[in-house]
Amino acid sequence: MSFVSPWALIGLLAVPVLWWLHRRLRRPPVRELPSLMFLLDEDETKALPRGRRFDVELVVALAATILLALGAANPQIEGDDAGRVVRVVVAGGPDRQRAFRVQRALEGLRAALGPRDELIVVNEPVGDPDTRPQEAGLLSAARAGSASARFVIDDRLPRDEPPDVRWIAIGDLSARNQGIVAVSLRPVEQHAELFVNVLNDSDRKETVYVFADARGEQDVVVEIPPFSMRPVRMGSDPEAERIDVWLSPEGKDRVPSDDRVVLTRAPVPVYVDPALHARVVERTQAALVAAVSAAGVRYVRAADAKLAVVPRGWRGRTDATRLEIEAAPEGAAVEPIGTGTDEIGRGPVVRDLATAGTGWVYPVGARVLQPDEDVLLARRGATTWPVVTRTGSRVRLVPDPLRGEPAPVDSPFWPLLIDNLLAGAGAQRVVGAGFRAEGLLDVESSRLGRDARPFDPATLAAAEPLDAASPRSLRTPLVCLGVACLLLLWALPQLRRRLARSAKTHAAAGLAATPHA
Amino acid sequence: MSKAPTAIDPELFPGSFLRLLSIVPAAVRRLHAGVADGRRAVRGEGGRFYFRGHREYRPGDDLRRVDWNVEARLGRLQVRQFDAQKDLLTEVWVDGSASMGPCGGRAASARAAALCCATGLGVGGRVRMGLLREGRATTLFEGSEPGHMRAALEALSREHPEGLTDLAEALPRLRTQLPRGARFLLLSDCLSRADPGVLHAFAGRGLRGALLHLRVPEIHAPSPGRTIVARDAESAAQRTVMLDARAAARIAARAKAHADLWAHHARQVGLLYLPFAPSLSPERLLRRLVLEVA
Repeated sequence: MSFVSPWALIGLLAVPVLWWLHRRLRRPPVRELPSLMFLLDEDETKALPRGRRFDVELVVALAATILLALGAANPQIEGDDAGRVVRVVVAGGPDRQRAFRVQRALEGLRAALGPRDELIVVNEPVGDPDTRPQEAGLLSAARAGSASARFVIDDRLPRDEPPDVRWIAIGDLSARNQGIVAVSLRPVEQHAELFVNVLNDSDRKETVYVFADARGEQDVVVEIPPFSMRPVRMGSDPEAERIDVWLSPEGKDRVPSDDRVVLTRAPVPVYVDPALHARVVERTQAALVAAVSAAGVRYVRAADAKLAVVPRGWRGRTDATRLEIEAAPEGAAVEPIGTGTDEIGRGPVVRDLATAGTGWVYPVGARVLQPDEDVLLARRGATTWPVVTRTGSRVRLVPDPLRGEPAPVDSPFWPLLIDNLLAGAGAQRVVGAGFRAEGLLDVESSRLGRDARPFDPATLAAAEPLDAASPRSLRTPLVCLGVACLLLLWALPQLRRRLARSAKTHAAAGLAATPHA
Repeated sequence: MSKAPTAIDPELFPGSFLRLLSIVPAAVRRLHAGVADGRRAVRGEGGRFYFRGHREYRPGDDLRRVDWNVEARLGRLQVRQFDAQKDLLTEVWVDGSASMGPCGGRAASARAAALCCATGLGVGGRVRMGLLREGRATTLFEGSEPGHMRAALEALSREHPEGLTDLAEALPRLRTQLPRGARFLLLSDCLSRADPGVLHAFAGRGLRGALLHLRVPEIHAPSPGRTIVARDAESAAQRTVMLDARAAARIAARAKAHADLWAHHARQVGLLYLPFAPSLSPERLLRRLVLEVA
C-alpha cells in the first residue's frame, strides 16, 4: 500500500491530542440539584474511573480522525493482477511416441501457473510425420502475439538459445535411428559413382545394409559408430532414368522414411498459391511469369518447373482447381547448377529469420524439396504462409516480423521470393548427372531428439503480467466512513438528550400516578 | 430578591401557556356548573353556615329560614340571616428558595402558581400570592379580577429562586396572615429539614386547599448512569456519587419516604397533596386544580 499524499498523515497527530484532551477535560459532569438531602447517605466516590472508561464519543472521534487523515493521504492498494500469458509452442516431430512426454511438460507448466495466468499452447503440426520443424519456425511461432513468457517444447535444445524463448527438451535418450542423409551421383568416365551418406543416430554401433538398384541390385554392409555418419560408394548407370537407394538397419529404426531415396530425372513442378483473391489472380500470374522470366535470374532447373496459381480457399486437392501457367518461357537461359554441394551463383538463401532485417518476405526453411513434388502455398492465418508439398513436406513462408504482413502481390521482391524458393528447393536436391533426389530428408529430420531439460519453474517466476495491475484508491471509502463517524459524533448527544427526556417523562408519569395524588 | 423590568418572561410563560390562562375562567365556570352551593363563590347574602343574626319576617322571605324556636319562645316570626358564603380569598404561597430553580423547577413552579392564581380569580374571589423565603412570607400580588393576572405573571417573572426557605419559621409566620376559611395553596419542593408537622400550624383555621409538591425526577427518580458531581443549589456544596442502579434506587426510596411524610401531614390538616413534575403539562395540572381544589 502506498500513499499519494503522505504529508496528510500529519493529521494522525490529532489522535494523541484528542486522547490527551479527553483525559484532561473529561470529568464527571457537575449537575446542579435542588438538594443533596437524599444523596448524603450515599458513599462519596473518591477515585474517578477515568482510565478504563469506555467512551463512545472518544472512540468515534478517534476513528473519524484516523479515517479522514488516511483518506486525505489517499492510500493506494494494488489491484488484481491481470495474470500472465504463457505461450508454449509444441514442436511436432517424427517421434510419435513422445506425446506422454509433451503432456508431462505441459502439466509442469500448468502447475507453475497462477489462477489468473493463461496458457496458450500452439502445436506446430507437421505435414509429414517424418520431418520436424526448424528452429526458426519454432522461434517465429513462439514470438508471435503478446505473452509474458514463451516456451518451446522440442526434442532437442537449439544451438543458440535465444534469451526471450525458453526451450524445454523432451528428447528420448533411448531413441535410435539410421537413415540416408545425403546422396550424390558423379559421372566417372563410362559409368557413375553413387555416394550415399548414412547416419547412425544411436548410442551404440550399428550395422546397416545399403542397397542400390542401379546396374542390378547392389548391397553394402557398413558398421557405423554411435552418432556418426559413414559414406557408402556404389556403382551406377548414368543413363538410367531412376535409381532406388535404400537401407536395412539391424537395430531399432525410429524413422523409416529416411531409409529410402529415389534418384530421378523427372522435372520439378512447382505450384505457388499466393493466397489472393480471384480478381488479382491474373496479376499474380503475371508477376510470377515476370519473376521466372526475369533476365539475370538463375533458376534451379527452371526450364522444368511449372508454376501454378491456386485460387484462394484451396485446401487440399490440386488437380481440379490449380491454374497452371507455363513458367518456362521460350529461350530462357537454363543453367544446371551442378551437384548438390555446389553453391548457387547468386545471393544466399535466407533461412533464418534472425538474419532477416528487411521488409521482405522470406521462405524460411526452404529445405530439401523433392524434385518432383508440388509446392503449394496456402495461407493460414494472417501471418503465415505454409508451403505444403504434395508429399507432405512443407516450406514456410513467413512475412517480415517487423511488418507482420505478407508481401503484396505486385511487390518488386516477388522475383527474389520465388528465386529463393526455387533455389532452396533445388540447391540440395540435385544430386548430379541430371538426377534429383526424391525422399531425401534433411539431416535434422533423421537426427532424433537427444536432449532432456525439464521445465524449470524459476524461468517462469520472472514473467510479468501483460497488463500492470492498476492501483485502487481507498480515499472515497475512508472519507465516507470518516464523515459517517462525524455524523455519529453529532447525533450521539442528540440521541442521549432524547433518551433522557423520555426517561424524565416516564418518571413524571410515575410521579403523577402515585397514591398521594 | 432580584428586580427586573416589568415584563412577562416568555420562557416562563410562553404563548401557549398564556392562551391556556385566558380560558381558565370559562373552564372553571363550566366545570363548576351544577356543583353544590358553598363550593363556589357567590355575591350577596345567602348561604347556610355563617350565621349573622335574626330579623323580622317579611313577605317573600323563604319560610325555611324562619326560626321556629324563637317563635315558640317569643311569639314572633324571626328569620335567620347568614353571611354570603363566598370563596373570597385564595392564598397562593410559593417557595422562593434556590432549590426551586434547578431542573426546570423555576418555570414549573411559576406556571403552577399562575394557574393557581388564575383558578382563584376564575371563581370570582380574590387572590393573594406570596413568597416564602428566609423564614419570611412576602406578598407579591393581590388581585380580584381575571384581568389582574398580568400583574401576577409579571411578579412571577421578576422572581428568581435564591436563598433558603426555612419552612419551620416561615409557615408559623404565614399562619398569622391567613384569614380563616381561605383557600390555601402552598407550592414547595419540601426539600427542607423542617419537620412536616409544621403544617399543623394551619389546623383549626378552616383552611382548605392543597400542598403542591414540586418533585423533580433528578432527585426523586434519578436515572442510573455514570458518576456525577452533584451540587446543592442552595448551599453550593458538592458531592461525588457513583450513581449506579442500586444507588438510584436508594435515593428514590428516600425521596419517596420524605414525600410520604409531607403528604401525610398535609392530609391531616385538610390539604390535598398534589405532586407534580416540571414535565407535567399545564393542562393536566389545571384540570387537577379545578376539579380537586377549586
